[in-house]
Amino acid sequence: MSEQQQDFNRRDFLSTSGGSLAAMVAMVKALESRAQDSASKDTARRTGDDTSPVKMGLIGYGPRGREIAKSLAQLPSAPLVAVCDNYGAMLRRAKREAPKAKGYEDYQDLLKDKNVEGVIVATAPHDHKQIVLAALKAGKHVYCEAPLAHTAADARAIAKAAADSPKLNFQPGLYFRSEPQRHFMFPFMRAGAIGKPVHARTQWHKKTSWRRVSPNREREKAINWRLNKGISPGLVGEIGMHQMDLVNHLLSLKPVGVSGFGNNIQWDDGRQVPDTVNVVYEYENGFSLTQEITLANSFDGEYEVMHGTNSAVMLRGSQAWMYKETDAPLIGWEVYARKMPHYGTPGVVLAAGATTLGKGGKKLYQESTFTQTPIFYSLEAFAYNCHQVKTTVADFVETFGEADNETLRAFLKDQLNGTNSLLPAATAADGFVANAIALKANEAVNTGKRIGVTDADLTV
Amino acid sequence: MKKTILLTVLALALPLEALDTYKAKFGSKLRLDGDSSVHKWKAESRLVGGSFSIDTAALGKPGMVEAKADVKIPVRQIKSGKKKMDEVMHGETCFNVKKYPLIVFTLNRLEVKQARGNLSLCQASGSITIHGVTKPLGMSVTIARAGDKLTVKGVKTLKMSDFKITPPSPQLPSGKIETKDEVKVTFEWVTGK
Repeated sequence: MSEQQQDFNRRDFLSTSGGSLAAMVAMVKALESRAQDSASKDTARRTGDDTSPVKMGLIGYGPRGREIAKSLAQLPSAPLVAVCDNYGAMLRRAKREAPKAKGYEDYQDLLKDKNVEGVIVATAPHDHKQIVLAALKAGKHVYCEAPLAHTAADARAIAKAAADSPKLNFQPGLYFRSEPQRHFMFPFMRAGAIGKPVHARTQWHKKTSWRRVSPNREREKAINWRLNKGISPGLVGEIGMHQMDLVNHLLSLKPVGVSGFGNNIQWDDGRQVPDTVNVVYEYENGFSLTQEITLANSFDGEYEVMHGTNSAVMLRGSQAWMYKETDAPLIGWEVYARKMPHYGTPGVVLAAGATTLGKGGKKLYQESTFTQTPIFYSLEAFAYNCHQVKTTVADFVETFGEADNETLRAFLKDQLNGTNSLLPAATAADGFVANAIALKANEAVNTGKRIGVTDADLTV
Repeated sequence: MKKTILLTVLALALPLEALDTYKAKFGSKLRLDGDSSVHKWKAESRLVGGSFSIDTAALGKPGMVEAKADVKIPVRQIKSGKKKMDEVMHGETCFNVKKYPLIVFTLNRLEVKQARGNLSLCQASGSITIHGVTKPLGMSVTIARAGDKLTVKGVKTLKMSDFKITPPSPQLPSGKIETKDEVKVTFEWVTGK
């Protein structure tokens, strides 16, 4: 989804949220009603059981690949028909856990499988480029795990190849872009609800080694690419990138520089990659973003907070809260919203799909209905958008004949974005920009120096 | 005698051969506007296909114009911007896209009522097929000429029930949304040589 499409202005937002409460209530009722009419009763999904399926092939059956397979098993719109892993034990495991999927040892063989329409690349980032380029060449829609690559050059090559394939849907695995709670926040944040952005802070705390074990020494070396400084995007690339991209996306900002440092405090096992990092991103307007990431302590988990002159907004899991300053102007709708004590201050609950008007004995308000994981929603969006791109391209060719890439791109943008046909998802360019910024941050951590971020660095 | 018949045949054939052929181009727009007991709704598409054969020169003055056109609209590309509403609209109980994938309008009569510069106000008539039901259709259209392009614009209100479509009435906790039968169709069909 393009930013332009999502770019609500303050007046639109207020007219929906505060200006006409009755209209908003009616809209919510209508949507609920349509949801009831749908064949699917799963309110945690945005697509129904009868949503046209796009057959998926999964490349890489490591922990991330298995998590993906688990999500696909709950998505009727994305049946898993093929799995590839070049390690025999993983392939056998895939055959056990996903018996309906055909097994491949070589990804090139999976790409030749005509039954596969979309490919999900869940290998190590340094293997992404060759697989993604081959998959696009084979005419497959591609979901590539983020970061797209371990170098900016590879990430750029992937984004360029995706742009040169307008008939195919490409989605980088920036899963927060598709997660309903965070997407729900988009018009709210872009409408300037927090006032002038002052500062943001993200945290990711977990006690985990990041080390993977294998009885095979060569295999163990290969699967521990995250601990290998030469090819690892580090904690900021593997983890911090998602939170950093979210803040930049919600506030429409791009950093101009980044500083940071990292240390090995807990996992002193010969690894070259720090287990604890602190990063500060600078922005032209004086805004700053601080990231704290550690594998050495789990207290308080993970969240993102954006501070503005009027309020602060915190996102945690599938929930969000707004904490208003006492001198902030009254928006209107927040008077009716549910408040929840949090951090000693009553926060206004901002939950996607949370308004339930006394239906069927349910509470007047409930938590967000979108309780699945971010990767689930990201894959749901990928499958749905593949179908939209596929059918729209087919109708375009049927109606107007074949066209050059530029014409086709312009048409697809107009038709798909103009009619709001896609579920929210990051574009190839979004994936590249987040990747490039995160690699700069990793460089800052590794060198202890401030690293500048220029427009050229962020141009595909 | 044979020569006379031959000349007559040629004379009859000439106008058809003289027609200019235009094909649908990217840039077209179609919009449906409707109402319901709860709120107004709209659905849009940028995909309006087909071809247009016309004596372009005759558009410059009032009178009948030799013209033929087939306009084709893939129904699944008409979207409301709301996924659940699209499912209802494209589903079996409404447009039934799987069975009736296209809306087709066939033009068989075109008369220029007024012409000014490159704009012609015309009365068009033909037949339209929606949901497998074909009905005669007459409407006012404007045709704009610009280089090798012809752009046809028009507005027409249709009734869903005329095409055996029951206006959707999804269930609410407090009752039903009653969708009104009338749908205003606004289109801009861009064609080029």
